[in-house]
Amino acid sequence: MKFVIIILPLLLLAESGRAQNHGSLNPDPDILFPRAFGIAVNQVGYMEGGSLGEAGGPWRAGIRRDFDVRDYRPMAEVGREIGVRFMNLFALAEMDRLNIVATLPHARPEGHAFDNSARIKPEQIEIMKFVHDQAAYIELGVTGVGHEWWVDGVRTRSEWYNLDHKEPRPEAMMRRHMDVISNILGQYGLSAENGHSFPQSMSALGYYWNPDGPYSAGSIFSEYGVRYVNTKFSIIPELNPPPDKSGGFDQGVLVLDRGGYGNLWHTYDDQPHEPVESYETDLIESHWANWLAQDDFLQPDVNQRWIDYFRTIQAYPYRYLAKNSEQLYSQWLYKEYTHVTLTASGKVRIDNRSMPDTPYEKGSLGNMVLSVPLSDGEHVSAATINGKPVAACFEEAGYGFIYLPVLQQQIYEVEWQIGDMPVPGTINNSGTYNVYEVEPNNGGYLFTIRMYGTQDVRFRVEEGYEAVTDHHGFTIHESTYDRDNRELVISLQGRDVQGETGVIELRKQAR
Amino acid sequence: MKRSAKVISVCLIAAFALTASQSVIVAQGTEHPVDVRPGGILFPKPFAIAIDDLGWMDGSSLGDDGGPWRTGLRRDFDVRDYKAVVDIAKATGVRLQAVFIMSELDRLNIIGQYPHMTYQQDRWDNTRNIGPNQIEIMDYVKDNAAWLEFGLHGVGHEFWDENGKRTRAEFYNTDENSPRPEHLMNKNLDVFEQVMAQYGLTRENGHSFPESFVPPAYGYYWNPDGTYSTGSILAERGLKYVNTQFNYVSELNPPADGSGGFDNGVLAIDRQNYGNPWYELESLPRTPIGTYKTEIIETHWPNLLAADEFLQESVNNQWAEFYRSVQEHPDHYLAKNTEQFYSQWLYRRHVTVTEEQAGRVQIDARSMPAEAYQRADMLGNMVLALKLPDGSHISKAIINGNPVPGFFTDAGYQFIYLPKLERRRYTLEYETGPAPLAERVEINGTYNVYGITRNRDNMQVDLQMYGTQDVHIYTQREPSSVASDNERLSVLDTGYDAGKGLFTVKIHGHDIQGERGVLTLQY
Repeated sequence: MKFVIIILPLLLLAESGRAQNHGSLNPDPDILFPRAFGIAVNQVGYMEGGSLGEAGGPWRAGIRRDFDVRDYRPMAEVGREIGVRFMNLFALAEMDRLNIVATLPHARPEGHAFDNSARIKPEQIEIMKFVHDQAAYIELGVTGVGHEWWVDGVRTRSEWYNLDHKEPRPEAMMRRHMDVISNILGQYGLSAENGHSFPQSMSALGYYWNPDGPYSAGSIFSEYGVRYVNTKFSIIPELNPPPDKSGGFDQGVLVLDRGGYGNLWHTYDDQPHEPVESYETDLIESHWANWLAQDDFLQPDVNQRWIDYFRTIQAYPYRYLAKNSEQLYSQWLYKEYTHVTLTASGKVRIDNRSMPDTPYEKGSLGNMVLSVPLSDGEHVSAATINGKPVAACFEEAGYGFIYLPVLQQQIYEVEWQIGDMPVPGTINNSGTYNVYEVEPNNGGYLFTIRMYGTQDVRFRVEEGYEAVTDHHGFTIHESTYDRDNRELVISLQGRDVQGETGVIELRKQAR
Repeated sequence: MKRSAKVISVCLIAAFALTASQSVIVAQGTEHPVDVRPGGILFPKPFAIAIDDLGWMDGSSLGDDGGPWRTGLRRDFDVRDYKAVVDIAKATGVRLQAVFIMSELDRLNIIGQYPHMTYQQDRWDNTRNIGPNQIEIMDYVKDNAAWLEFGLHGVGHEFWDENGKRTRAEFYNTDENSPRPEHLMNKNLDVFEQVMAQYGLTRENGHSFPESFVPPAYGYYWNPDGTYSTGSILAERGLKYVNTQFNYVSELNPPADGSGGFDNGVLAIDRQNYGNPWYELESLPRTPIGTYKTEIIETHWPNLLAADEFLQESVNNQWAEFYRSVQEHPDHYLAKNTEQFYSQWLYRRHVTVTEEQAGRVQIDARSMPAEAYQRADMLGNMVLALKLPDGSHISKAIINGNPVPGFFTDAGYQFIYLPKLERRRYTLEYETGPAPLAERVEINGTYNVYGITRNRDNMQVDLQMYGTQDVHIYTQREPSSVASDNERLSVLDTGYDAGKGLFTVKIHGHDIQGERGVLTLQY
């Protein structure tokens, strides 16, 4: 068993829902409490990419191209390769197949005269079906309807807050924009009636931060089910937001500052220009064009550059790739409010008593992640929390990542060991889903999982188990046993495009 | 102190040995020094780019599927993509050589009759591309002949056999090192002409076949001693100038790198690439002027385009800056058009220029190959230059007693446009002073001026006009009238600035490839 150097306790500040982020590093650790890393893909959803900015319209993607399903594949392909579900933030006006956007006076330059007829075509259906089918790797988040705001054709920035005049948009109109977003998603079957939630993630260039007031962007977003928001605090100083590079709660949503590191919003094939060591935020920005090649035959090279980029992050000791937005925001909260202290070799004490109530009220808290450096041939061979086995581990880039359950406002003790075999009775989470806990059950197991899209789930169990579920939002498509890796592998589909939480039972097969 | 003249060395032996042969390979490694006399006349190298692959309506590569690579840019092209090139040309004062692939401009689906020309073979269906955008594009190309040369690249860029298998390239099989059948190649040129005709670009309408050609993928059948070569079939149609990268057809013993030669009536010269990939947006040569082995260098359409319209001005500025660096370079100047470029290319290899006495320049053109004169319109102006301080001008310039046809001032240099040189000796006499010549043509456009004749009551200017441009004629008296001897060379407007002594004539040349005629200014 390896001995441990411990992570420093982290301080927090909770004031008016704001928190400061303290990232502490240990130069030679045996266990790490790493900062999460995520990247947002801004302003997908346009059907045409050419900027109309100089003519007073939306800037769109800043590339002259008619978009189709090919332009969504890179995020899915890179996500599949590195095991990340990317937060894609849609501007939905041009996906509107019923011209519902014309009911909004300010969402596009044309106002009520908005006419999307020329863009209504099968490609839209194909795109949204792809997004739905690739929910494992593409998170359908939202940035708005038209991204900006127009009055009689005159544009001000931006949709959710008037940055030019430093004033909020009318609350009632904000709700109408949210309704239109819901309506457009419904045009593609992504409705509550069909079991789909409203997007959980949003971004807003202009964010009306007002946690103590009767109305804020967060209060509206939260009503519709949004949990996670990112913005740039530096452009709304008049609203006294949390400090730059920080975050906080605004009426039910957790808002994080988002950094930009050199890749321009309109540039093809453009990865962040600065290395991971320089990042001050846990979520950084990218834009659609950055993920695209100028032509299809160049796309594999662009994908590979992104994959290589993400692998440098996973290999960096003090960061790891959050598999999805819930995990990213959760780790941000844990890094802010949770103290982790070494108590003995292979044992840490986790004090989560300072976690605010809001994430519990909103259901926005997920796994906490610790990581253990591993040498070749080494594995995390045991991991428990308060004496109960953890549900999932994942090994990559020389680290074993231990996925702890949702922590309550209490103290925990985590113990782990390193050996030559991985932890039995866990899930090897090479996907983008979340595994919250595992419970023994009549010689079998009950795993609670939040599944995005359709993915393989790899259970580290001996041969002879079968997987079943009575959760109506889950479908098990296939089940095989991988003897080489000694894993039961099931293909599991979650219905809700925003994630489906349910229980998978592993039980001994009848002989 | 008397300064010794620098006599230009000439590779006369090589030139003389080969002049009797069609296969003369001119001037390998025999370029003349630029500095004729320290502080005196310069004999600069011309510079040009060729822009490949205009004409596609859809830019996305089909190369991975056995089709053409097109431009490697996923974009439906329209007139904006031509405007970008024209804007760059205007910013640089040069008529850019653009070579076209015509298949996707086919509005009548005629190409399906020739299965080897496209990847769709006899299933060729261009319906998706047929629309008003095509008309708008070709109207724009015609209207901007001053800035954009409509050159020949091909019909489909590659060649597809009866099984649909693609080989490179359209005019020569570089995969198997073998020529394409002559009759099929003539069909390709027929089809190119037929698609041109769909836009009114016919001989009947007064338009010539393109003068310039770049073989797709450098597949050029070099065969100057044979009766059939790529050059032979092109020359029959009136084409004159070719540029390619010769080392792609090394099995044909072409001219050496950086060189060129005559092939059955066309002048083919080497062109190379300096780092900008064929598909890359906003991509300039990676190395600066002064490092190139060839006077003409390769670019492709996307290199001059931005990812979006709002970024195009920045790209234009980069190209303008690049061109400015060429014009400022002491060894190079910007050839205003392809004829001028190729002419200077020949002059620099076959003409000796000396200036033993300041202001008296001896020019010996007796070594110019006969092939340069076999076609009357192959050779044009020769260009010399003087670096002059601010406020100093050429105040006198005569060649063999006649006025010099034109001048142009840029980047600290005074460029002297001499007439087409015959195979004999000339003497250029010039003086500098505080005032420029009172009577001269200042070639601020992309046209050519071959000669100027001043009589007691008239002035005649022999010129070749591309598109519509202003001709700036300095003259001390306002002409009472101006007339053209060619009905297709139209005088659209005139104006006289008495303060500057500048007579401006707006002229339109009908032929998209250039219209020649003589203007007579009557006093």
